[in-house]
Amino acid sequence: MTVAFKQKVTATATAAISVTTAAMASATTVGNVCVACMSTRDATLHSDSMADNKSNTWVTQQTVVQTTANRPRASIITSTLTTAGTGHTFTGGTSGSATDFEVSVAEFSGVTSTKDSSGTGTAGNSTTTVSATAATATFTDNLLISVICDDGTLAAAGISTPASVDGSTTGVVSLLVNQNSTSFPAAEHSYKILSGAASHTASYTYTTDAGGLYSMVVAQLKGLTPASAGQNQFLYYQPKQMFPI
Amino acid sequence: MATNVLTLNGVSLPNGVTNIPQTAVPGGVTQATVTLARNTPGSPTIWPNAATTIVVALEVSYDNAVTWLPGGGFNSVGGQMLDASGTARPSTVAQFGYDTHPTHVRGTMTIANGPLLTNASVVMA
Repeated sequence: MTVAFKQKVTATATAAISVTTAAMASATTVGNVCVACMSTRDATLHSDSMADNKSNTWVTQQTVVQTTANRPRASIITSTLTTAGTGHTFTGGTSGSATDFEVSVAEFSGVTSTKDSSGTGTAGNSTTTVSATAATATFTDNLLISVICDDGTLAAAGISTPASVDGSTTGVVSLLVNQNSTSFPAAEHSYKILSGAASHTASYTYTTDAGGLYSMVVAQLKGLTPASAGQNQFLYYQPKQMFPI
Repeated sequence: MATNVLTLNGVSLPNGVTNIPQTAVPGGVTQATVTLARNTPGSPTIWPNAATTIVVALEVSYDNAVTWLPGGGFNSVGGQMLDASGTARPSTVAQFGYDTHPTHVRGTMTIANGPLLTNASVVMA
């Protein structure tokens, strides 16, 4: 079963305690995976969290936090839906009270909520290009997610859209892009559906933001596990039948 | 084309629920933006009390106001919110994206430990 994008919602808020997305336009499906990308910042170090109105379990796959300046944070959080349906909303929260949030939640089929590999970008002052390389994936079908969050607002060129993966933008889809905003941190959330077990590098190019900091993460989620040989034997087992000669 | 659903300047929102009126929105709308003015040194009477809280909840309809779904929301508290440079944030701004174009929007603003003096707007675009 190949990985497939189904639908998404986005929400952003500044100086807030939490933000909740609109409901997914169509009913979500049990067994599908929702991938939440969060880019956040505030002046005091806080931790971020994700929840939904159907009480599914969420697992942080990868997160990176800057501990100075406006403390930009980037996280990839996933849930394999055990409860789904219409009116499905998602809430990004924080342990603080004055956080800037950018949240995108995308529903995928054909993928698991298990991380195959991950990586983080080099934390520090922003430069013109930043990258994060995921370790070699062990599964042939993968979903690569990347998130970048800058602690400031960026000038005209902003962040490249979409990210490049292994030097190419082909097949890379932006889930959320904030550029040139005076309110929100510059950020982008992207995904690419991949095939072939390999390591992959996601990169963003953006204009220099003097003295700024960024956080960037990348994670690869495993595609649905193929049935093992033993399972195949069981699935295709048929009792021996006796035929008259 | 943007549609102003709500524009309130210098309004004192009382404790309890204030409705955001049901409003038809033009075709092609993909985003709602809610803006609330915040307390700063230059606007000391705006939302000064950290105990004063607001919960904003939008609903959207995709079938001409027959059925409604959650359209996004947030909660926040009053008082000055400073960035790392010590500058007070002038506003709380929230934006909600819609993959499908809504036909209508409505909502509520729920205040506790108020009243809450602010400038508020809701824009669909």
